[in-house]
This record gives sequence, C-alpha cells and structure tokens, in this order.
Amino acid sequence: MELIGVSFFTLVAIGFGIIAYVTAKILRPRRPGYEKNLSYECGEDAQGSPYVRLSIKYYIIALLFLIFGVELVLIIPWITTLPDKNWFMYFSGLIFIGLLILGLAYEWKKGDLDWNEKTAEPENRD
Amino acid sequence: MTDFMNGYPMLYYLFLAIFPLLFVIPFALMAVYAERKVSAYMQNRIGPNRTGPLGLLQTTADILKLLQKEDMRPGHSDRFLTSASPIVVFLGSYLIYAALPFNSILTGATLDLGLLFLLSVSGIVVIGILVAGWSSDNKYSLLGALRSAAQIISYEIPSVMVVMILFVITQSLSLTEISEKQTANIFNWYILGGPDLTWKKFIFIPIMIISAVILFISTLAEVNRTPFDLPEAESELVAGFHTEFSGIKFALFFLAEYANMFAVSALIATVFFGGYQSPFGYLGDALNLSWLVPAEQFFWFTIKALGLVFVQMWLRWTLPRLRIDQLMSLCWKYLIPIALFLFVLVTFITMI
Repeated sequence: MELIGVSFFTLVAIGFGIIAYVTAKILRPRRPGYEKNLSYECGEDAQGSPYVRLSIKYYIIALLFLIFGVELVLIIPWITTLPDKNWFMYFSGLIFIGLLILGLAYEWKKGDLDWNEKTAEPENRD
Repeated sequence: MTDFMNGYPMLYYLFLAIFPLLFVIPFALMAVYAERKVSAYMQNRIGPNRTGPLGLLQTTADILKLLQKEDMRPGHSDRFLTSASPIVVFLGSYLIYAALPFNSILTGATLDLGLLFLLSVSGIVVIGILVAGWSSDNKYSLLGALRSAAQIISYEIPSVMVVMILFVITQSLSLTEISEKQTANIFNWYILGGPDLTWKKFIFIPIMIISAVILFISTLAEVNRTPFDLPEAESELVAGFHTEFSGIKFALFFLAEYANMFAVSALIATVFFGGYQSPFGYLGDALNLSWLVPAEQFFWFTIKALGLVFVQMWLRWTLPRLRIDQLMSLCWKYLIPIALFLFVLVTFITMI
C-alpha cells in the first residue's frame, strides 16, 4: 500500500515538470541563432571536445562509496539483532566493521583520500 | 479523514502526493526571497524592496520571467537528456517528501523503512546531476557534475552512519514512529538522549549532539549549499552542472535545490528535534479540541525545519567556500571516522 503512495509521488513530480515545460513552451519565444547554440566557454569559441579526461580520483571515491553502501546493507540486519544481547552475534558484526575500518585506514595511508596528488619535489628545475 | 481514505483511496493518495507540491512551491518562493533579505541585512543592505509590498513578489516575478525565457542549449547537446535531467533532479528531492511526517495524520506514505527510503531516493539527485552535466556539451558542466556527484556520494556516508546510530537507539526506521517516541516534552527528543530514562540516556546526550552536527554538515554538503557549493563555484566552473540550462529548466533546478534544503532540514528536525511534536503540551489537548492538535503539530514541524533552513542561510553568509581537497578530507578523514567510532560506541552501550 505504501508503494502506491510513492508511485503517486513519482507521477506528481514528473507531471509537474511536464506541465511546467508545456507552459513555458507556449509562453517563450524561439529564435535560435548560431551564437546562441554555441557551448558557453566565457565568450570564447569552444576548443575541442567537451568530454575531457577526468581524474582517477572520481572512480576511487565512487568505489569507496560502493563499499560503504554494501556495508550498510549488511549492518542494518545486524542492528536489529542487538536487543537480543547476543554477544556472539555482536562480535561477528564487529569483525566486519573492523575489516571496514582497516580498509579505510589502508586507503588513507595509500593517499587515496588526499584529493591533491603529492607531487614529487621538482628536481630538474635548476 | 479515515472515511475519505476508505471511500476514495486513489483520490486520497493523490491528495497526499499533491500536498507537498502545494507546500514546496510557496516555500521555495518565500525562501528565495528570505535568502536575499537575510543576505542583504547581514551585509548591511536592504535587499529586494520594489516588487510588491516589501519586495515580497520579487521571486514570483523572477519565476514569471524565467517562464518566458527562450530555451537555449548548445547544438551538440542531447535534447531528450537535457530536458529530462531537471525533472529527475526534482523527482529526487520531491520523493523525500513522501517519507516526511508533517503531522501525525499527514504523511505521504507511511513507510516502515522511511529513513532508508529517504537516503536512497536522495541518490536519484546524483543521477539527474550527472545526466545534466554529461548531456549539455560543455566542459564546465561536466566537471561541475562530476564534482557534485563525488561530493554528494561522499557525504552520503556520514549521514548513513548517523542514521544507523539512530537506528541502534530507536530500533525503528519509520519516521512517524521515531516522532511518536519523542512526545510530551523536550527531554524526550533524541538530541537529548531519547525517551528512555536510564543511565544510558546521559551517555547518549553528547553522542547525539555530535551526531546531529555531523548530520547537519553532511546534509548541507549533500544539497550543495555554501560552504560546500564547489559544484557551482563561480570562479572556477561558471555555474557548474546547470551552466547550459536556461528558462524553465533552470527554474526546476532551483526549485529542486530549495525543496531539498527544506527536506534535509525536516529530516534533522524529525530525527533529532522531536519531529512534529510540540516541545511542551498541546493547546488542543488542553482545550479538548482534537482537530487543533494536528494543526499545531504541522506548525511545530514547519517551525523547526524553517529554523534549520535559516541556519543554512546564515552559514552561507558567514563561511567562505572550502577547497576541493579540504572538502574531501573533511568528509573522509574527520566525519566518517568520527561517525564510525560513535556507531561502534553506541552499539557497545546498547549491548551492556
């Protein structure tokens, strides 16, 4: 039953967007021109492809997020067992969290959490 | 209300789904106005004062202007995706309202996993932002979108941790249930340790205050507000992922941002500051008017959330923007370890 409510929310949100688009479509002018259709690049003509190469950091952040996301899925059932005061279950969960903390510490030590690369000392700049 | 629900269930659900929209649009209009006024007074200016009495119609005029603006997009951008992305972003922030209990009877969908649902749908916003940046054929948009996505998913982790801390203490993920537990008076609020009157409550007080601060910081970063507004850093990325959006699409992004601001403030108010519960008794109970109680609850809910929205605006004009490396190290080196430590501590205390 709750999912019916949620799907109504989805419909209302998308419907609102479409209604707003249609209203704007009726009201607004449409006079495209060469310069209007250029990508914005501070008044210059755009150079090269917009799909520039990206830092590998973004992928590492996404991977770390995935690890912690999976951790959430495993920990929530564990939390529901806490009121039973079963120490065996508690420590098995703790081992998992300990591994997670170890992983985070490893990433930290490896320098993946520093956004700025530790650039090597400039050697051949005499 | 229950008769209506049983008689016309579909109409009832439709009403529940439309109600937040009727709340969000006036809120966004007033919040933009309030933000401009707040910033003006903090900087010793007057702010908008020409359109309507005290400038109150300024935002309405802005929206009407945006509706009439020509829709410009770069020649090589993807037509369908650029149109879809503002709706996806708005959908993500609107679905949060499905789980928020405005008062004891008015909840979009009474979800047992409300908190989890809320965190998961706020991830939809990331998809919308990435699509917007990728499809709009602009370097600034792409870089802004990636930064925004990295920031939002990073800061989702501390908020998830805080939610888990709360889950350990409340043993419930339903926002209505969490609100109901904090009834009667201010000492039952989870910021002050929750309703259980044992020695554990007093240990929980400092933990909960730190958790509340962590949740506030991370949700502030999730909605891309200053001091975490790097995706929109004007000096580096023009306007971030919405550089190439004009007219109504830009307006939808803006509406989604303000809707998100209220949603996360309402989340913090719900889990830590008693939700829709009054800090003292209800006038409706005293006067024996049962219809007055939900109205009062609605009042308290909005007042608490609006107070937190004001704090967000206040911070915007107080703190300078962070650098990207500071942003990431704040999340991964401070907030996540502290939240993990508190989580383990709280589980240990509940086990004793």
